[in-house]
Amino acid sequence: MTQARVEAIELSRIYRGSRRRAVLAVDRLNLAIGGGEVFGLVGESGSGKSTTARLLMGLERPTSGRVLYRGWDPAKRPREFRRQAQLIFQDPYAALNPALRVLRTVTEPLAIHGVGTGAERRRLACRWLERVGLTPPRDYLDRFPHELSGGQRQRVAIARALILEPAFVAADEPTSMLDLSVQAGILNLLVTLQQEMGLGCLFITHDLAVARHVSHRIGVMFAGRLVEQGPAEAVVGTAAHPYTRQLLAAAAVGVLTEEVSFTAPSPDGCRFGPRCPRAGAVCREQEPFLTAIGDGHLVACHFPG
Amino acid sequence: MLKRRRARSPALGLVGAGILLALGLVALLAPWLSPYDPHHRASRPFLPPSAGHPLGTNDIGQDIASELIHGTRVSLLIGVLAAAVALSLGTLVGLVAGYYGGPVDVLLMRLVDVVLVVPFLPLVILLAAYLGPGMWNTVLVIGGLAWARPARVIRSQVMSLRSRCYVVASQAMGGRPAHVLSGHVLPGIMPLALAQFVLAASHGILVEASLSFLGLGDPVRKSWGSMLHYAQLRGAFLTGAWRWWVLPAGLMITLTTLGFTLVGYWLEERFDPRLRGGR
Amino acid sequence: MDDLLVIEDLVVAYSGPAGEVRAVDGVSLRLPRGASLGLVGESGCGKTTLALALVRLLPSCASILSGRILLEGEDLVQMPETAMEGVRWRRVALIPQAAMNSLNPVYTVGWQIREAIATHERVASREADRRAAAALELVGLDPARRFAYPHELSVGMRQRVVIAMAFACRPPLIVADEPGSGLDAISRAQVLGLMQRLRHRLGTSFVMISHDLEEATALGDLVAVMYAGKVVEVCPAGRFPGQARHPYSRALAAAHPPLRGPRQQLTGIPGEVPRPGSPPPGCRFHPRCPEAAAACRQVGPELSKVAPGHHVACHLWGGEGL
Repeated sequence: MTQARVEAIELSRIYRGSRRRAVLAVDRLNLAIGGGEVFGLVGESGSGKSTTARLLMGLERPTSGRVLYRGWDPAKRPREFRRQAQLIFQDPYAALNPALRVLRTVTEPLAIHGVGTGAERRRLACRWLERVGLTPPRDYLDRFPHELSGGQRQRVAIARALILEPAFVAADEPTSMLDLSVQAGILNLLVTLQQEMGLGCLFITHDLAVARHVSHRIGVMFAGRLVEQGPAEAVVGTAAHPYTRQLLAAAAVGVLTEEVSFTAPSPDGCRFGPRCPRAGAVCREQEPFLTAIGDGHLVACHFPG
Repeated sequence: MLKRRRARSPALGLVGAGILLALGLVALLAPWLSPYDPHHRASRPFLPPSAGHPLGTNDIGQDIASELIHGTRVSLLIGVLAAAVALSLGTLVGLVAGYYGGPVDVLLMRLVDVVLVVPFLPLVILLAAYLGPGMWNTVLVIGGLAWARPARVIRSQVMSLRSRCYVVASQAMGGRPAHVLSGHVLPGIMPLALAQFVLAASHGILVEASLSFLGLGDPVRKSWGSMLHYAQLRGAFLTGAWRWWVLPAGLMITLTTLGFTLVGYWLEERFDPRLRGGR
Repeated sequence: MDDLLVIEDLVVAYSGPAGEVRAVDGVSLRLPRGASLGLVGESGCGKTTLALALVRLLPSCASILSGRILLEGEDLVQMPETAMEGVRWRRVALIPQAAMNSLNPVYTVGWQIREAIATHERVASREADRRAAAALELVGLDPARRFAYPHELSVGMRQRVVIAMAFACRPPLIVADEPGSGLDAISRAQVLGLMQRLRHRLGTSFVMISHDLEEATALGDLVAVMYAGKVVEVCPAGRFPGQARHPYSRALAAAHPPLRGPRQQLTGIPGEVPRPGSPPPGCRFHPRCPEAAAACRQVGPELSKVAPGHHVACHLWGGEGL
């Protein structure tokens, strides 16, 4: 693997909630995403996936730990970082300013970074609209977001994210709000562009099948911690963490028959403990840490396998 | 009940717009509309209404109808200028407080609270008396105190806009605050600011009339408030003259305020997300 | 056969500035007692409109133009609203889309379940409370949770509360509109598992509406595929999606990446669902269909039988008539 594009080192983010209750959104997360690599981050809602993306993108400050981009601190050179790292949002309806035409939306990064003249920006916008499959681009330049379908909006958002030819992209559930039939097209587009541009990519999803389809490596997050991480095929094929297995069962069959427990985890123990079919005494007392069980395959569980 | 109000308000807004349009025309065409120069003695003083002087003459023989028509200019001008000052200040404070949040927001909003809590009219009177009469002083005094309400309304809208995905996207692309504010946030608050402007103008006109009535207005310009001031001074309130000297000016003030308020509430209802929530 | 629900040639239209727009255009379905039906299709195909029509809760701009909805032999379309109030909840309940987010935040969930029971049945308040507790227990929640406010519960738990409310009067039919959307994979699977268990235990029939194939087939004995206001395929759940015949059904099934096996390019479906006001002539799917022939552009295909209980509306699969 080449030098990591983006690295998270012991990254934590704590939210101070109401009644002085602290919420550990992200807890001591270590992560490295290489150039040309797609890292799929999977987990349920509230597991800290989106916060991780926001931390990596510098939209939020970590409570502790740090983020490195190509070995340097993005906060030190924000302009350069913002030019090379881009974000794609979940909701294509909210991600575009409803008052701006497609041309202005797509060329906004160029305007921000002062790239090109008006005519050059227009040409570049046309080229990118074509690349994301909105052809002929002429038909789209002057449209407003409300005149586009969800899939088309997401394509516009992708064109906007990539027009500066960034080196790293974080995509936060970019297809979860789209119809299946539309989702396929967007996934294909993202995979193609990622390969053509050699992008490093953090791809967040709650769908393991989608994660496997697009990623080289997959990380599974639960309650702010990475509980399993490894090559996509290994994580899906030989899942070691009981939570990953539950996710797989949910994805494969669509129905889980076992009953759920809604009890809170013990403060020192494994956070998945109360929901875990394998939990033993040690799981209540000691939190497991990521340990290698195969080639690049790590799992945080006292009873993996 | 709610439904009826909603169905009626566009019509009311239109009525308000009609009133404002008519007043604007009167102000523009004042020299041609008024039969006499309001600053010159046209006849004997204290004349009752007649064919030559539809509203009679005042204590120094000036035509009251002409005064009324020219007063439209001053009243509207001061109201609009004061609103412009109030809105510029209010928008700036609202934008900064809403966008940056944190301690800046807390500080600015406490300032807003202070301005809102202080009794408005006494303070205005005090300041106007201290600064002395004059149109610009009136504008500054009113504008300098009326910005708090628009600031608060605009701040809440900015806060809601700030968390929109496309604003975050713009920040993530590296957009500096100036770019994000002018490109995404300001356009989003324009409709709301317009509504606030109209309401502030109506308020401004009322306050200007009050100040002038108290003799704190610009002595060389004819405004409705100053007409009332002299009417009161010469005892018109106690004699039959109030019908043509006091009533018309009072009605004009009421009409103007009504016009601005109708338009303002209509705009506010259309654009304020909180009032629109029930839809 | 004893049919619980029979829909005959149902047409539901919205009246808008551009005239009347048929969101559901001639749908016929039949559901035996105790069986469940999964209804699949992209958004904008008329699924939700159909769901709302089944409980006669259409918005005021929509109306049923023609057709019949027979619930246990009684036509709901002709039923006066007062009688419909007696049917709703007691004989057919609706779990609306994103219902877990529309619980009233100022009342406890127990109060809301009690309210649902008390509006539809005459019961003493103590009896209603007992039944609210039982309903929560039924969906796997601690009965003590009835004193909790919605914000104190997770999304998955709130969805269980909504299901408990739908079951509170033990209706023979429940219409569920995307019950899993807005939930993450695991809570969704758990909610579906819960509905499956309840169905077996209580013999309730479901009409399960979803754009997600797994969700639609999870309870299904039958699967119906809807496209642009029409049902294009009906088949036993076991044959879906493996033996689905309609190109649209197969395209839907191929759109989601598989969890196992080799990774392959996804196909997706080009284009968009046509707007309800202006469906293309002939087969409504032909502009997006890879196999469209000349006939598809002119004549709309009718449902025809290709196997027992399996009907397809496609010119490529001409079979015996319905």
